[in-house]
Amino acid sequence: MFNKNSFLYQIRWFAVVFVIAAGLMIWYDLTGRRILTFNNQQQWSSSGAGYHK
Amino acid sequence: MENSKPIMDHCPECLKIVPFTSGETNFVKCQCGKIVERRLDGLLYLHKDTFFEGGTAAIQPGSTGHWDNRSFRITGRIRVWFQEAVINYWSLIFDDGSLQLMEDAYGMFAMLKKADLPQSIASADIYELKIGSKRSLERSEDFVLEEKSNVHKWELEGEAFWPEFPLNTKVVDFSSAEGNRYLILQGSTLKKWAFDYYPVILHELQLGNLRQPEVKPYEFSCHKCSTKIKVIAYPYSSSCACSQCGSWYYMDPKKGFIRGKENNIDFTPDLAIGSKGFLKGIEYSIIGCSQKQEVNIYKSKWREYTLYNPHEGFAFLSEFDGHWIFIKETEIAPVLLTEEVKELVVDGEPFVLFNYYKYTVVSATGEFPYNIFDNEETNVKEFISPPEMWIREKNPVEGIRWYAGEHISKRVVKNAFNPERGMPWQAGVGAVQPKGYMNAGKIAAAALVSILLLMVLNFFIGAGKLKKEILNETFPFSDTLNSISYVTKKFDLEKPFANLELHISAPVENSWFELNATLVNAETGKEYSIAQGVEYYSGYTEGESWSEGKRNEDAYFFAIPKGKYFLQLQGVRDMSFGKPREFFLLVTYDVSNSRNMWIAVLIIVLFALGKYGLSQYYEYMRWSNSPLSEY
Repeated sequence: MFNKNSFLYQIRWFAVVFVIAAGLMIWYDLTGRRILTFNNQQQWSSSGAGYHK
Repeated sequence: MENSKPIMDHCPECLKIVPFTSGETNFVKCQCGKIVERRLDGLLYLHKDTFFEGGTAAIQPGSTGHWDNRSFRITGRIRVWFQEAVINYWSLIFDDGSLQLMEDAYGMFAMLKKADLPQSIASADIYELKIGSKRSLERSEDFVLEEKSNVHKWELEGEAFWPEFPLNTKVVDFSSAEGNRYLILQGSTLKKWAFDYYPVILHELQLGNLRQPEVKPYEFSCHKCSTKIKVIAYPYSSSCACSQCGSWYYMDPKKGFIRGKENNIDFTPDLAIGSKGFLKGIEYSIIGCSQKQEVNIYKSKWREYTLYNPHEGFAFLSEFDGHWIFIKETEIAPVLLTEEVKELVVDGEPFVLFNYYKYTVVSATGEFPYNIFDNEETNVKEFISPPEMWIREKNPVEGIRWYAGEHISKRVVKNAFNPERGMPWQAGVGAVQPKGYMNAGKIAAAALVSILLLMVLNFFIGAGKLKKEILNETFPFSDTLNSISYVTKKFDLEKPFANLELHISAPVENSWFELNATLVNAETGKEYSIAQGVEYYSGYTEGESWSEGKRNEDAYFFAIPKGKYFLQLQGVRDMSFGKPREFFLLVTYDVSNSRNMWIAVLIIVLFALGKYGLSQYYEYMRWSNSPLSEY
């Protein structure tokens, strides 16, 4: 399918980048995350080490 | 070609029965050594035996095969010697007794099917037509005269057909842009025979009963230095050079090898003459190498290696600035109806004119098909679509030849021939070196398709989201307090990981509101906190009204694991004049998020732009070797 004479061979890097982009999107979407977000969500665990005001 | 029954007749020389096995053939070798020709009037004529020079081909009288859903057997061949080429015409007898010729030229094969002769050329001497002349040949397309040759010598093996006595037959080849070809044989009396020409791939003929081809080199002593010169692919190699003194030789069909001018011998090919290696699954021997130079202001020099395999014929390796191209002459080729053509489309792929030039041979060693030393008038055009190219050579006398080229990596060439001298250093970008080139249209199309696919994926992911409402409530402030605290009931979050969206709305007017929200896992005590402000300011300054901020905001808890949770909320307001009297909060679990999709789209767009930029740079480098560069 990806032999050197086929159109698919020409777009092989496009395919790789698409798979990476789509994979990121799917993983972030399905786990409720946002790509490249540095939000102010903080976490504490009452059972673990750490400080809680 | 209608008489399919064998004719029993007696040889005029020895009176033995002439071994014709088909009524369609008209030349056969008798046991007495004479060649018997049977003419239309039924009379038999005798010719001297023709000694078959050189080695033997894999195909032989008695070989069988299939074409056009019919089986055939091969009865023999007539090999004709043109000025610069030696070509076999095999006679094929099909199951129904009909006869057809098969051309076998330097590893290219074609079926010749008898066709009606166009009246417009019936009485003309078509050999007088110039190479490149156009004729409609009474068909709905224009044909270009691509090649014309005169038979200087002929040989017979087995039993074969040729329209009349072969010597001095003119063979003229017309091709149309639609891919049709037409071969016309013209006898010495101007009588003509027309054939439709169908290029075929040898292995598709399913040939059987083949013999092991025998290479029988032709040896002669250099006329100048007496060094023994061995021509391996004789008689198909029509020119050669002495490895000792550099004298050039070209073959005359009647006189043999004739010495031409002297060669520049200060040249040692990187790939040694005589070395063998596999390319494209075929074992080739390197039998020659010439160094050619463009006759123009650039004076570019490149090397061309002749590759030979007795089964597959000839191929070439071209090397320029350390970039290699594998080249093979081909019968299935484009046709240029005018010389103005700047772009060819072959199988939907556009090939752009990259270079045009005349050339001269600077130095040479080994042997070569055709005479490479008389090509100063040959115009070469190169059309490229990396990694492939088409090369057209047009000579006013020899005609038009097409070669298909394909980039081949330095590593593949090195592995195949393992040169002791090492490989030449690479510089720049080769004419058909693949650099992942895609034109702007293809890049845009690929990016668009990728983006559409991302949108479709995002739609389906969004459709699968729960969008479960956890809280939908308005919280009024009491007049004197600036904050509200509230704890929700416990609720279940079912998914392994999902988000929680907080849509906050507060009627702020030149004031602010802030919500502090803590999501607490009721089972583990784990807490997630966020703070989100809402502020809106407006006014009228220096004749202009202005505003900033907004009255609603969204905040998110991300990647919240499955569990039982509750929310602790604290709303704090500004106590100034425009303080909000209430705030509204909508909490939704597992919502879709187009932001991730837009970032994925951005990745695709950035890649497409980068690809385009890099392609432009590589094309600039590639076309720096072309007089037609637009970069």
